[in-house]
Amino acid sequence: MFKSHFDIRSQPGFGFITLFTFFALYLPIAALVIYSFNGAESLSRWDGFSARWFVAAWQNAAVQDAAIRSLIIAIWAAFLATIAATMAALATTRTTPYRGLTFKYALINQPLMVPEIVTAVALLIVFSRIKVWTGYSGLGYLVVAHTAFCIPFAYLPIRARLESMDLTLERAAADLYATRWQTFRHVTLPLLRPAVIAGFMLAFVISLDDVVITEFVKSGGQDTLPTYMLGQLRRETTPEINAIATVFLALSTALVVVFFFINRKKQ
Amino acid sequence: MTETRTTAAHGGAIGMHGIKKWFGNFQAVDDVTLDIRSNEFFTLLGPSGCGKTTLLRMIAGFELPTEGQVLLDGVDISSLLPNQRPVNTVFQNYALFPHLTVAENIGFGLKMLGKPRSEIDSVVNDMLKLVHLEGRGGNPVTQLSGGQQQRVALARALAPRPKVLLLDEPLSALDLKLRKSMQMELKRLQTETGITFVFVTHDQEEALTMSDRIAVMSTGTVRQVGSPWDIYDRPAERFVADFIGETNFLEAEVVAVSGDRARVRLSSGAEIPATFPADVTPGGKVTVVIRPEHAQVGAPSPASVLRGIIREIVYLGTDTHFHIRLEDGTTFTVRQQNARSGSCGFSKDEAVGINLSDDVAQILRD
Repeated sequence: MFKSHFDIRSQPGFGFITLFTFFALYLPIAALVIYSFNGAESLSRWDGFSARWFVAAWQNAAVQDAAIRSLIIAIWAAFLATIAATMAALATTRTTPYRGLTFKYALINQPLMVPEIVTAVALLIVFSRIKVWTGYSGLGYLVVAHTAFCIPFAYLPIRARLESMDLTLERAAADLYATRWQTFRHVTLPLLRPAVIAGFMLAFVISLDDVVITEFVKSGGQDTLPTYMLGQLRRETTPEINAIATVFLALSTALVVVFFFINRKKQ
Repeated sequence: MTETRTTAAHGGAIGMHGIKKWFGNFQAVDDVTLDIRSNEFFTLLGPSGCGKTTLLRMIAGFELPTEGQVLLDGVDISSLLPNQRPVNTVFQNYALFPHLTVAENIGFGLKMLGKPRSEIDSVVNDMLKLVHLEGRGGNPVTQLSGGQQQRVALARALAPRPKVLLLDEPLSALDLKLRKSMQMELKRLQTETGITFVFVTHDQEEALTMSDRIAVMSTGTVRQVGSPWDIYDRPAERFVADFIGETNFLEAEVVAVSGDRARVRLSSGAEIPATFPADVTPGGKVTVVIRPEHAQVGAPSPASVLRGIIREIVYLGTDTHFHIRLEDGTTFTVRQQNARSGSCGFSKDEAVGINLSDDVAQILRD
């Protein structure tokens, strides 16, 4: 293949910028992973290879407790956000464009645009009132808050897929006596499945990762893994949090890989 | 309605009464009234944008008429949803469900109607036989060739035994040879199933080959409805004559009218008989149509109906086209079937006479 003079790869400095970006992105992560196998008590001093902090984290009741809570919230929030996002995507794509549609896109994507800290403070105020009125102080508040900011992440892949889908397939289903629900159930949803799974996974990871809103909304004893790790910083920190972070990294990488293979099998 | 839908012994009759359709400021259909008979192969023929597909979609229920009624066997179905109409469609791009197998595609309609598994299986088997795809039921549709996908689309639409089958330019994506064999296939299926077929195409040859009757459309209106013979040999107006096949238009003056025949005088002075679709009066100026294959080239003589000079001779294998400049300056085309002798016997720039077969001229409505 003829390599153009204007090919980006032949521009001066291309190699340097690439390397710099690559290291800037991955050096800290590499350091984190390496130091999670540190045998020492200190975060920064290397004292031989050991998996002791993984064991310690695994056996730490507080970590277990926070991890389970994180998973429960993430699963519920991703599940609810995916349903809401699918409905929103259907409503915004299976319609003829009308005035106000752009406004609806903005409304759905609002959590991406409003600074998280603003939402966090707002939720703190609202939820504290509700807590007083209802007396309920369970995980529901965290699930609701997480669902809200997960919706745009689930919405994006689902809407993209719906927009590229051939409308005549749904028309053909209707022509063959399918009601609107049957059309959705037997044609739209099966074709939408990869995007729905992608939306769910994205929402799941986003929920698992959240600190700011969780920190403001949680009641006492409702630490998630990220807020637990944040709390640890105030005390004496050990490579235990490196180990937890490494597990986090492994988990999200695994999700992306699994999704990649699911999608490839479809095509 | 469920009963008649599945045990339909005859195709349904479609009535379209005073149909108008506006898309914003654009009028796609302008006051169309059509009656499509039970069991017939009916074709909506016209150039793209003439409103034929819009009419088809209104029968299917994908579009609602702005004004007017769609009747099925005399019952108004204008406001029914597509899934409530015993009418199925073969789409231009087939629209097969890519996540289902051949058999699941064909059985989709019956499944949606809640038919028992055993009935679906037996109908699907019959359909696979009908379209010559035995043994392919388990294949994913994405692995089929264009022609096979076409046949799955047909089988899928026929499986629920609709009263009317709508076909939206279903052959346009196939190559010429496959298209020819599918034309015969469609005609056979229509005769065997007794279902009314409504076929949309812009291909006049396709329409002439398969149809019992044709409606020629232009700019949202129906210009003429009739058998292929009517449309070809008795075109009512210039658009129809021009759109279907090759045609010679000649200016003429009406000399006499008697019964359903008129005598017209051509610019050459010759008088010939002509048929006409509407009232004509002696002395009136009219345009007459003569098909190229109804004229013969010969030596010029006083008896020739028309005279002119050959401008071009085009050899087309089965026949030869002579483009002749008449004395009044208009061009006239004659199509003559070729013998095996090799030469047509005439050469370019030769002065010739043109004779006409009996009763071949048709007067056009203004």
